[in-house]
Amino acid sequence: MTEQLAKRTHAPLYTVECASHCQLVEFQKQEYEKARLNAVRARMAESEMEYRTREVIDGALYLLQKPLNVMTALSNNLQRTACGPKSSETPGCLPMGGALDEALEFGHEAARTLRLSLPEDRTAAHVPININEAIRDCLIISADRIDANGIEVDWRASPELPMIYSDEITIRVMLRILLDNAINAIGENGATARSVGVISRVGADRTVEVCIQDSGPGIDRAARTKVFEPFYTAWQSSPHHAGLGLAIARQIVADLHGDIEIRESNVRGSNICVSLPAC
Amino acid sequence: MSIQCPTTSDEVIKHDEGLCPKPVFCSFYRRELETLYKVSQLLGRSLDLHDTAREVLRLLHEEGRLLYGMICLLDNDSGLLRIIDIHQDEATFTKNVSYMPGEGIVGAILSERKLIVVPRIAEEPRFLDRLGVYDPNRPFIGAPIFLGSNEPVGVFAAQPFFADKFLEDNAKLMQMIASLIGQAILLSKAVQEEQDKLREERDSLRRRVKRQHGFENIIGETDAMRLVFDQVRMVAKWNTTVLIRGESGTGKELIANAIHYNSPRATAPYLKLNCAALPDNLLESELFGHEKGAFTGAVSLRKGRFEQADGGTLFLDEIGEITPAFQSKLLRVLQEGEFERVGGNKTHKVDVRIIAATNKDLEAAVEAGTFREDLYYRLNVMAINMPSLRERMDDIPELGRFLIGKIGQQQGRTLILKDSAVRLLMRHSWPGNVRELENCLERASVMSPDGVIDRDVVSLSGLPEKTLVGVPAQPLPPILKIPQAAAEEPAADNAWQDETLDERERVIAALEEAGWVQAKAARLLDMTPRQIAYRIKILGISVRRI
Repeated sequence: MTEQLAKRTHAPLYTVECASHCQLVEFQKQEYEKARLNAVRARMAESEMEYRTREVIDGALYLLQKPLNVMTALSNNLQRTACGPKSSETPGCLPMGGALDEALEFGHEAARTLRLSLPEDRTAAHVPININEAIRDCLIISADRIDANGIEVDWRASPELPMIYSDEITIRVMLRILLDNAINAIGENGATARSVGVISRVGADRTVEVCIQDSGPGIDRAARTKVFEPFYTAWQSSPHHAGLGLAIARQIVADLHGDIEIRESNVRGSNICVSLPAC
Repeated sequence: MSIQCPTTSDEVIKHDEGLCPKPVFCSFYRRELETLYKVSQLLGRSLDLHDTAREVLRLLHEEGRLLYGMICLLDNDSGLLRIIDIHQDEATFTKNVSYMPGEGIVGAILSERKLIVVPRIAEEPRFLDRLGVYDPNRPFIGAPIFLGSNEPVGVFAAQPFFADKFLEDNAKLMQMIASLIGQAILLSKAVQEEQDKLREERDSLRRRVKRQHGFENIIGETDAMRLVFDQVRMVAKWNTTVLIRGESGTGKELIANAIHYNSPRATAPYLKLNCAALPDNLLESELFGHEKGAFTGAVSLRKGRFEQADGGTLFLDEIGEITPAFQSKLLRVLQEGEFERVGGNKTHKVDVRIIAATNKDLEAAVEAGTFREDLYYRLNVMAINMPSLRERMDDIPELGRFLIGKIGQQQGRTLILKDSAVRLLMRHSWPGNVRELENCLERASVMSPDGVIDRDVVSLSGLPEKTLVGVPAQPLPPILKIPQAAAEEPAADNAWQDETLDERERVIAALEEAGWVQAKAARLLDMTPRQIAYRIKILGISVRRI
């Protein structure tokens, strides 16, 4: 971040004769970068929306499935007791006038309809990605939010990181979710300072590790696995969160065969670490 | 003989004349010793540097000797001197101040590696007053903290109350405390390093286990298995009880592993227990633990599996085998997450995800009254039915190759599974499912001297003859229509025409297609019956008579 700001304030000095040309090139570079970032931002928003929709429908399906399963078991048992063990061979036997079976059929139909509305799984090709570039993009895209909240970001990037295999956009969606989470945490009651630390480094066993620390209230030990469950939310200050962010991040990381966990940190606040296999 | 030493606080103490020539010094040293004693006590209490630092600084401040103490340590990553703690009048510490080595008076102590004593801090040119807590009219003492070596790793600084004749002695006291702090840091660093090493090892082992139990290690391309995978994916991320049902040997445990390692609890403990392996009362103490003296032989308190798995997953295999009395206890844990240890009266609350598995017909058990109905419905919220191997015959070629690879790894040699063997395997009905297949292949691989597993080796290893005679469970053609197999192997319907296969394989394929009628096989291979009979003889093919 600071690097970015520094670039903006200290415009490069040019000799007189090449000034106009160099400035033009520089300007074009900036315009190109701006356009690229806008495109990335748009694709990220789209991809995140897709993940959200899928997660919500998956959740609805699961919540629907639970009572359906119990009803199925109930219906089977009723059939057995009412019509004898070989119930399938006596077609005329319908306990409760078939009401239960009918309800079950409606339930299954609803589940089918829901399943049809799941967004198509468009997994893009995985390419080698430098995770530092992805972090940089996410920081620039979130720059307005970071500035508005008066947050100091301390990014310690290890310069020679191995590449990881991923899709350009999903990895950014995941990092953005984690960064947003850190910013949210600082707005919570119990935040000790206004700083976010991002560390990218080489982990053990040929992995690349990204840790995002915030100085928010931290996450209880008991909730450290719960926060990754869909629809679980622990935010106090803003109730309008569905509790999907970390669930999506976990899904993305799992799809990349990585790990995500909440670690102990030296300072107060939470420390979420993602480790992804290097290629 | 003794004299009385009147002190500043009008304290009266007794000393030998020889040891205590001046009463004021006498009291000073006594208090100094006391301070040192208290500091060393505090430092020994805990390994958490932040906690002990705060306690020590508060003690020094409240004793009124060394005010606004500060402990800074060198940060290895940035090379800056960071403040670990500083005693302040307000409780919160918000200023994020750090010093470069050589910057200000604190930095100077670090770079010069020696104690600095300033009688009046306002007169010190290097004093920056970045913290704004120090009184400019008081003296200032800063001592470097050493960790055994010559390089200081931090600075301990404070302000004595007066610039009196005790300033030098205060400085010595500071130096002593600094070295005590150094020792404490050394110890906590050693423990921290040890912990880091263990954590790294744990993480790396966990990653390995996770790799072994991912979806990649469960083979299945058939619709029945795809359905199972979809169910596992959906169920894994929710904290719900799962019941896995299926015949023995279908891989229920593999599915349970996949659920745990793909769930948010993947980093939490994962415990397994076979309920059929233990009698009822042992099972109870195994699952719930027992208090000391709960029964003969309970010599110590023991935590049960439920407590050990707190926050994680517990896999209960053969859940259908437990007695009704125990079922009611299990039901309570499932419903409330509460239980008591055997012989204990304190209720424990745990957060454990249960994955249960059974091959028993639970519905029949419920009807017969041996399985509680309420537990049945409680378990049945998410049921996953494992298909038997009979229902997914199309997976056999791939499963066979996967298992052969696994067995080969165990035996340390490369094993090759021939198509003729696969075709034979596909005619068996596999009542023992994948486990039987694995055992069969393991036997076959032992029988094969050169690592090539073909039809003869498999039949030698004792695949029951009578199931072979029966109608093939599946028509032959789809054997090799699996995408991966198609790339390396020819399609089955013309395997005998494939030039890349060796002659023996081709003859066997043709014979199988022809139902072991030699004349028919000869036509397929474009040979005379005599030619094929000769080949059968020289290639050592054992002819099956149907």
